[in-house]
Formats: sequence, C-alpha cells, structure tokens
Amino acid sequence: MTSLIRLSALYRIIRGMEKDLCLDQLSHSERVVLMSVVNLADASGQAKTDAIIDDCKEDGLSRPTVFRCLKMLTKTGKLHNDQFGYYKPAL
Amino acid sequence: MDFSITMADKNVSLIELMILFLAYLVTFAIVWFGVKPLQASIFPGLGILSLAFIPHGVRVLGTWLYREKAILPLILAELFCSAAVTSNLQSMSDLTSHAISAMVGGGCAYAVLVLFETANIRLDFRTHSIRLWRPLVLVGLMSSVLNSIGKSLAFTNQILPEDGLKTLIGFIAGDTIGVMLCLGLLLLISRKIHLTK
Repeated sequence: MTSLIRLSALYRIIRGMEKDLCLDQLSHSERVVLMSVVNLADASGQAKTDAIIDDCKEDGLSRPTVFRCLKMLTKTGKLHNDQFGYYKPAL
Repeated sequence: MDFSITMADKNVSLIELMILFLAYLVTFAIVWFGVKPLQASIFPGLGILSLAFIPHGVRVLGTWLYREKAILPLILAELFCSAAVTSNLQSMSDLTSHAISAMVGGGCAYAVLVLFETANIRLDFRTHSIRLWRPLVLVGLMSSVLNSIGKSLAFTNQILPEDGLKTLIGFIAGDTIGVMLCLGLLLLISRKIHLTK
C-alpha cells in the first residue's frame, strides 16, 4: 500500500507541473481523442470519424463521448474538420 | 498528520530501493554519455562540472519519498558511478575523496528535509498544495549548496584555489538545473505513458 502512496505522491508532483505549464487543459477523454486523431491521421494528415470512434472504443470511450470531445476539440481550435467527417490536428 | 514521516516508517521494499539505485545509475549515464559530451562541445574546460546533473533530482525525490532509507542506496549508487568513470582511483586519498563525496551527496537532501522540518515546514503531499514540485526544487537548490561545499572540500586537491568559487557555483547550478530536468523527465515519461496508453 505504501508503494502506491509513494506513486500517488509522485503523480501529484507531475499534476502540479502540468498545471503550472498549462498542460492540463484537456480532460482525459479529450486527450485520448486528440491522440487518436494524431495517430490515425493518414498521409494527408486526416482521420475519419468512424476510425476515431473505433480507436477510442478500445480506451473505453463511448460514441457520444467521442463526439462530444471532437466537438470540444474543434471548438477550441485543436482540431479542424470538414463536411465529409474527416478531422485533422490543428498543430 | 506528518505524512512525510509516516511514509518512511512503513516498510520499504528492497525492490523500491533498488529502483532508486538504478534510477541514479540511469540518470548518471544520461549525464555522462549525453550531457557531458554536449557541454564539452559548447563550454570546453568545465572539467568535472556538469551543467545539468540529473541524478541530483533522483536524490531529492528519492529522499523525499524514502527519507533516511534512501541515503544508503544513493551513496552506493554514487560510489558505483565514481568507480565506473574514474580511471585513477589509485591512492587512498582518491578513494577517501570519492567516499566523502558520495556520503555528502547521499545525505545532503535528507539534511535539508530535516532542516525544513525543524523550521516546521512540512512537505506533506496530502496537506500541501498540488504545486509541491516548487518547494522540492528549493530542497534541490539548498541541498546542492551543501553538496557543492562538501564536494569542493572532498576534491580540494583537484580544484585549483582560484577556481574554487567558480566550481562551487558550477556545482550548485548543475545540481539545481538537474533537479528541474529530472522533474521534466518525470513529466515527459508520465505523459508518454498516459498518451500512448
């Protein structure tokens, strides 16, 4: 148990640094979706919605959650989308 | 509740202390094979100084987590690293210098933590704010002062008197930058694990 407490102490330090460096602005789900888009992006840098949903399902995210995250990431300018259901990272 | 003490009162497994020992060796290897050649090409003539001594971060974090139980693995790790990279450990005085240096290195962070507790400053992660990494950098800075003084005394025969202050400042800067780099590495590893999971 104490090993777990030590690990939790280290994690708290990391969280503090993430907060100070503004790296904690994304929720866990949003991070998973963003990374999924980055990983699935093809040669043109785009990823299809269905593929993103399938990929995120492996991380336990439901279809509505993925859509909500995609919407939020697009709204905050981290992703771009088109009318054909393709997403690409804005970075 | 003073969590920083109760943490150390509980059993610390040998594996955890071995991980600490290995963490020191790995970060030392990063410094020796990565940072040192790089700094030699940018700032030649720094000699034994390292401008980013990441193992000092391991010392600080390890001592914060394991308290006095971290001292022995840290001393052994530093001795092991010294023996591995020093080719002229011939005389008894060389051995003594390295032993003193390792003991100062292993105990400096603990000494600062005890000093903090004497001043009633508790670095308890349960009651402290989430930004606990900042006081830990301060612990790193203060312990690097102790460590630098100790190392300067231990290697007094290898440091020219006119370079004494320069070396002392170099040690302090290297250790403090090392603590920050160590925390940065921890952050990078954590994010890598989370994002690729």
